[in-house]
Order: sequence, then C-alpha cells, then structure tokens
Amino acid sequence: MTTTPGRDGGSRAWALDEIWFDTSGSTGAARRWFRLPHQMEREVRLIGESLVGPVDHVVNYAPPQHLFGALFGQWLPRMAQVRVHQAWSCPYEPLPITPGERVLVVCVPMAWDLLRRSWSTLERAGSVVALHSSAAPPSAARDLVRRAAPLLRAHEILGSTETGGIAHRPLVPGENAEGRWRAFPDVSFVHDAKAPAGRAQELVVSGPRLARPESRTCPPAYWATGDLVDFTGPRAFRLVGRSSSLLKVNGIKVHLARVSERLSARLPQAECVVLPVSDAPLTGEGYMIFWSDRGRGTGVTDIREALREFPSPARIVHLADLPRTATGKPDRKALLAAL
Amino acid sequence: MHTADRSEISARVLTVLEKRFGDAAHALAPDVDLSDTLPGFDSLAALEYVTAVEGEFGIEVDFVGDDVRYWFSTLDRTALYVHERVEDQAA
Repeated sequence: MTTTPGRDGGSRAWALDEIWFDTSGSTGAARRWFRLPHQMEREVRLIGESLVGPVDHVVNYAPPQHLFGALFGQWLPRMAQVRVHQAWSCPYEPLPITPGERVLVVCVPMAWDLLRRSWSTLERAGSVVALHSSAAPPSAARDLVRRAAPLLRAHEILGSTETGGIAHRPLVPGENAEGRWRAFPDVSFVHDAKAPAGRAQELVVSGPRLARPESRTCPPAYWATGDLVDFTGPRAFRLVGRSSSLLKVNGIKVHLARVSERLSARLPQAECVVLPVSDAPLTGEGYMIFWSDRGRGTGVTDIREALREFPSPARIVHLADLPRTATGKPDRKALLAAL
Repeated sequence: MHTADRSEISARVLTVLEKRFGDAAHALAPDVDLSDTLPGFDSLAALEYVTAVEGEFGIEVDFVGDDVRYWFSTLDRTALYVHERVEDQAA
C-alpha cells in the first residue's frame, strides 16, 4: 500500500484542512483516505507520550507518503520542534548524530539492516527509541535490540492507513510472533466477548482516529482490519494471522492472489506460482515466483515488467516444469525443495 | 594468494544483477547509473544489491566509512570497490 499526502479540494470534504493518503491498489481498488489534523496530533501525542518520551532528534526511514512516516517523520518533529533527518530519501548517507542526544528512529523493515550497519554512529546518542510499524520486523531488528540494549529500546505498532495505530508491544530479543499486543487507550473493539479463548476472530476496531474513505462524508463507526486475533484480555490480543493471502513487503500490502492474477493476465504463455516468504532478511515478509514457459520466450524482465506496480518479489525462480500434486495443484513442498 | 581481477569481479557483479533483474541487466554498460537503467532499482533494491554483493565476495561493506551510494551506483564502481576490499582482505 502506498500513500500520498495532500490536501482535499473535493466537494465531499469532511473539513477543509483534511490530509489525504492514497492506497495504491495492490490489495484492491485504489482508494483515498482522509484524516483531520487533530487526529494526527492525537496519535502523535498518544504514542509519543506513552512509548517514546522526550527526544531531540528524529531519524525517519518511513516515507511520509505513508501515514506512519507522516506521523512520526513530519508531525512529531514539527509538534516537538526537534530536528529530523529524512533517512528514507537518502538511506546511505551517514547519520548526523550529535553525542548525547535523545534519538527517535522511525523504522520500516529495511531500516534495521541499515541501523545495524550504522550502529557505531548511532551509539553516540544518549538514548535511542525505535518505533517499528508497517510489517513484521526482520530478524535483524531483534538482533540489534539484543546487542544494543539498554541504549536502544524498540516498540512495534500495529495499525493501518485506515485505522491509525491500534496496538503496540515491545520489540524484545527472543520474543516471537506470539507476543501479546496491547490496545492504545482510545481504541475500542467490536467483537464477541463471550467467544471462547483460543478462537480466532477478525480484528474490528472503532475510535476517534479512523480515517474517512473518499466515498463517505464521515469516518465509519468501525473498521474490519482483515487481521485474525485471539483476545487474551479486555484490551489485549494475540495476532493469529490474516484472513486472506495478504502480506506486507517492506510495509507495502500485497495480495498474492492479485500478483497471480496480474501474471496470468500479462503473461498467459507462462505458468507462474506465487509463494510467500515469511522471514525475508531485509523486508520482513516477501514473496517469490516460480515460473516455467517451456521455451516460449518469457524472461525475468517480463515478469518484473508485469509486476511494475507491485513491490519486487524476493526471488524469481525458473524451472523447466512446475511440480504439481496428483490433483493438479502446485506442489509447494517440491517447489521449495527446488530452491 | 590469488585474488580475482577486475574483469572477473565485474562478471560476477553482473551475474548478481542478472539474477535479480534478468535481461535488463544483461546488456548493462559498465558506467551507466543503475538506478536510471534498471527498472525497480529503488533504495530497497540497492540495499539488496549491496547485500548480495557482500555475499558473493565474502566482504562487508562499510556504511559509515565509505560512500555506499557512490560505489554502488554503477557496475564499474562496484567492481572497483569490491576489488579493493578483496585486495585488503588478502593482504
């Protein structure tokens, strides 16, 4: 999902100072979402006060076209009147860290490998807080937290363009995806409170920070996120999975079904199978494509061209023939064994 | 100790790019800017490129001391950087 901030001049405006973010359409139809300044300020205060604390300098790896990058790479520095280094636009430049300062690092998955490489510079800071959102953190995140604690502490934020931040949890060494999420105080859940523990339910949220979709004149009363959760307490849950073939590549949502559809439509002469990658070293999650064209002239360049609007696949693997099960479905085990 | 020469290093770097970018990398001129030439060569792809080159040659790129954006902007520069790193390691 990509987002583009701007100002709304349309007739359906909720208020004149709305800020908009576009979703690109890699998970469905492209849509526009609107937020009000007080929603942005509320979220910055909420998360800034509860998780970040006072900072002198923000290092932002999240493009501000995304809500996460806009909140903590633009609004927080402006509200707190502190310096910001937009590392997303120049990720290979040295970090301009002043010794002793309190640093907030705004992280998407690929930022962790860059932080690991730049840690000798960053460790001059007095303290470092990292906020991670947009996708599961890669293993480099936990490795760095293990190595750099207590100077570095990190938090994961679960949220979306549609909802803003929903919940958070500390990013600690050794914790796996079973870790419990705690809801931010202004988020409410719409769910069956009598459901037995251990039964997955869709995460449906309400609260004052929901965005307004372009098709409506006000935000919805609640929003179904597509995440499946197991509620472990009144305001805590465990993330079980997603209700579709959705994954996030470096924070950008991708439906694998749409990748398959696109490949079928653009390259009918090729057979392609798309599989998820759960622990891509740089992007957190990813996907790979196995393909075969039996000599009909398709190449990797054609596959990349067909997927130009999608995040790049982690791997593209050519096979003479795609293995299938007795029922004709792609044989995942045999495909993975071919790597 | 044998160290790879520049042309061998260039060929291996090109193979790294071909694995990811296919035919688009096949005819790559050694001095063209990768981000201008290869479709989808964004900051993430550039980081993946650096990581893949490290893996191919068993080196670690110094992001603090070296101008990574410069050295990994073209095939020629990457090959020169790798050559010097490999020579350093062999010394």
